[in-house]
Amino acid sequence: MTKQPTGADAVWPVLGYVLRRFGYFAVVVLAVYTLAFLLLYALPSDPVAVMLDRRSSGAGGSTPEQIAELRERYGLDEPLLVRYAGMFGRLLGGDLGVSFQSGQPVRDALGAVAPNTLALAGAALLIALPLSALLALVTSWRAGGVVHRLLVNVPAFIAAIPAFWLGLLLLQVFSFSLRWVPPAGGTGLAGLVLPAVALALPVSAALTAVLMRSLDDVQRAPFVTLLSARGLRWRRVYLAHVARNALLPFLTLAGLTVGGVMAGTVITETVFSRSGLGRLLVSSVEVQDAPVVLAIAVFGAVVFAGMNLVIDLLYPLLDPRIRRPGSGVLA
Amino acid sequence: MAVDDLSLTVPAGCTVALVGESGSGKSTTLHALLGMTPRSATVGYRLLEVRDHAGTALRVDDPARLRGRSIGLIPQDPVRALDPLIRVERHFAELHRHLLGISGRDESRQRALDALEAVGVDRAPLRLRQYPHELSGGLRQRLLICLALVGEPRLLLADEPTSNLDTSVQRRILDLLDHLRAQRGLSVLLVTHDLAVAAERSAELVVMRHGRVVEAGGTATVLGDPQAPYTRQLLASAPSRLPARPVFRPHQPPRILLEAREVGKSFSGGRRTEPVHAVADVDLQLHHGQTVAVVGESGAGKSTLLRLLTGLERADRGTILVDGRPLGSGRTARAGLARRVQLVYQNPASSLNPALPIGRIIAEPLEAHRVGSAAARSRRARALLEQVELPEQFALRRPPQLSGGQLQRVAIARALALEPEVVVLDEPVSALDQVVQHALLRLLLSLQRRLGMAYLLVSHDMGVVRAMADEALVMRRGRVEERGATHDVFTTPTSPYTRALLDAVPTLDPVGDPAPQEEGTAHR
Repeated sequence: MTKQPTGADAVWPVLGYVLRRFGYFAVVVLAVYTLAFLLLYALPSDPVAVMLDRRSSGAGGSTPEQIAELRERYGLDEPLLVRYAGMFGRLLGGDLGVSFQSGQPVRDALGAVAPNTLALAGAALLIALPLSALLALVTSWRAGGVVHRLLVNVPAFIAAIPAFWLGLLLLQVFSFSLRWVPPAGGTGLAGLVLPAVALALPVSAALTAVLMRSLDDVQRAPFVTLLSARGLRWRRVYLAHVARNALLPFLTLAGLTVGGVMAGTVITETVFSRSGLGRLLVSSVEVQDAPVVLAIAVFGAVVFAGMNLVIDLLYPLLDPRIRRPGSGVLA
Repeated sequence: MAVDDLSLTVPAGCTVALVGESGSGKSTTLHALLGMTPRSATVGYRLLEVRDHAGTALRVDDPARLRGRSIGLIPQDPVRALDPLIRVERHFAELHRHLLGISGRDESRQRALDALEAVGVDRAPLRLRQYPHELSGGLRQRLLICLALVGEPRLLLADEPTSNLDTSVQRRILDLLDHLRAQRGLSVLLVTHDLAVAAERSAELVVMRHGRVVEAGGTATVLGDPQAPYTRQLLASAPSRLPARPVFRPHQPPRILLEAREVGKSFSGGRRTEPVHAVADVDLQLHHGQTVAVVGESGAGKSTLLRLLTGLERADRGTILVDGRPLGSGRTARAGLARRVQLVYQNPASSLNPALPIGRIIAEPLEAHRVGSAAARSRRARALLEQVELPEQFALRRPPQLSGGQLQRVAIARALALEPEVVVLDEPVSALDQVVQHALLRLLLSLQRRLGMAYLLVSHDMGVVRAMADEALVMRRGRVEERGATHDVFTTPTSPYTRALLDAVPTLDPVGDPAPQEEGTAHR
């Protein structure tokens, strides 16, 4: 707890807290934009040259006039700082620019594939969160018991499986051998299941390990012993007290996991040949399609920071101890 | 074997005290009574009986069934004994529903209010809406007693119920337990390491060591005429049995090592509250070879004052002088201060790096200040171990292999490494067993005689203060309430606050009374 509350804090701590969290959100998004922008535009490689090279491959060279015209069209003739600010302003307004590669608005390219990826990531989280919660709750039911000793190593085992290999394995078993689901490029729910599972499993390994650990820690807390000593059944103590206390670190990690899931889509979409942001990102990086890469980076940052913003705002509702920062005064 | 062949009877309406050093099996006994031992433990009973309200003895086969309804447990550490995420009201509601089958919200609430008021909690309706972290230690302990009583048990197990509380709060909580026992005809099994608490509060006493009962009987009888050598050792090691300090005579001319002139420090409080004056206008002088003790309840500003005097925190007002020169800020000033003033903390287990060998831990300050070669530092570490009366071979061991008392000796050796003029002792023995405490206090006294450094002592234990300090400074709400030679402050306190503080200290004095006492009069 901070000993030096800010001005806003003294007036209304809730507002101060919320504003600060929104501030963090803005800082993260801005930082990602800045870093991506510098990497894409300030590095000594000429996007126009690359662009022309690609477009006119086999069709002879291009004239200096063409190059100048392209530079102007994409605003590449302006100073770096002007482009940095201007582009950010346009991003805020929802204008994501025009792809170097296709000449189409980036917004359309993103809009076409983003739902696929969001569905995949969402489905993966919907699998990973309950799965890991359940696995951890079962494992830690009795610390030191047989179940605990057997299951405690499962997360490490899952985490050791390479994501691409897991995807291939799932494809081999469920698509080619059992023919339950289409092998590649599937649409709808049937096509979503396998990639979502392949994406969820490695993620749930970390989540399970953390939840297990905190369940075990909370069980050692004196208040748990005391609740049992007062005659409450273990099921009640475990679910109403141990699980609830252990959920707090789990929640934080779940927020961070969103980032892992987004990154994981790159591999999963490639293995399952699904169209999506991950694959679009890979192909755009290959051809140095800066506006697309930048847009995906910022989009990812917004989703990631947004999820963590939601969790940060949720946290004080779940943990009364941080609800009033700075008020360490005992009644 | 943690506990071996233990027989214990707690008569109805009576307090039985279980005393012994840590690791002697006191807590294991309590947990075994509730069937709460870890999986690795095996517990065997020949006979476990509980008497019901009518007085019929009922044989118990599954001790887990006693929990809550026949036996209530009051824990040691009130801070971590409540689920931090739920309000006080829900703590009650849960027990009402699952133990008594009461699911009506209004009835549960009314019962909770009555229960809180019965244990002397003020503003009960407000308390119900609060979370555990918003309550003070004393309030939490009252709440825990309340919760232990929900199932109307006949026997209360109190596991060091007051060892983390201030003396005055301790007294009120023990009074409350006595009151409840008398009012409701409860039996209390009081586990404590404090012989004085046992002497004041129990009718019968069981002394445990290494999992066995070494002596048992009426409290007054056992303490008045101890048979077992261990009981005698316990009695002899009470801090009040240490010889009183000779009168302190400062050097001529006086050498003042550390001085505070009207120092103050404030923290801004929560919303819409006044800033908290943690320390306000405190003057203090520490002479060469002198021991000054700072006493007071928690929250009185003792720790803040220490942090100011040791340069760990900057004072808002006033000046701090080291050897007559104002305490500067910055790295060199701090390094210079560290060579003159060293700290020994309360909990040695957490203030020593568990991964380093003891020799390295002791030599670390020398390393940090680039004193001597590696070989010379290692020689010095061994010499320091000898000074704190530990074997030289300990230099190669690591903290987890040492006991609490040995670790505190290591902490003292480390503090002495730079030959400081002032050693600040922050509750140096409060985490230790009484016998170990005693040995450590003697060590500190003899080190001071031999090496001549000054001690600045913070302690809530008046016995320790009386044995160690030349001058006592009683603090209350950041201000000095009373100061003077320790003997004067203890015998003729002028402030009512000091008097109350001293009165709350449990004493072994009834034992010193040559007239044999009737059983039951030892608890008041």
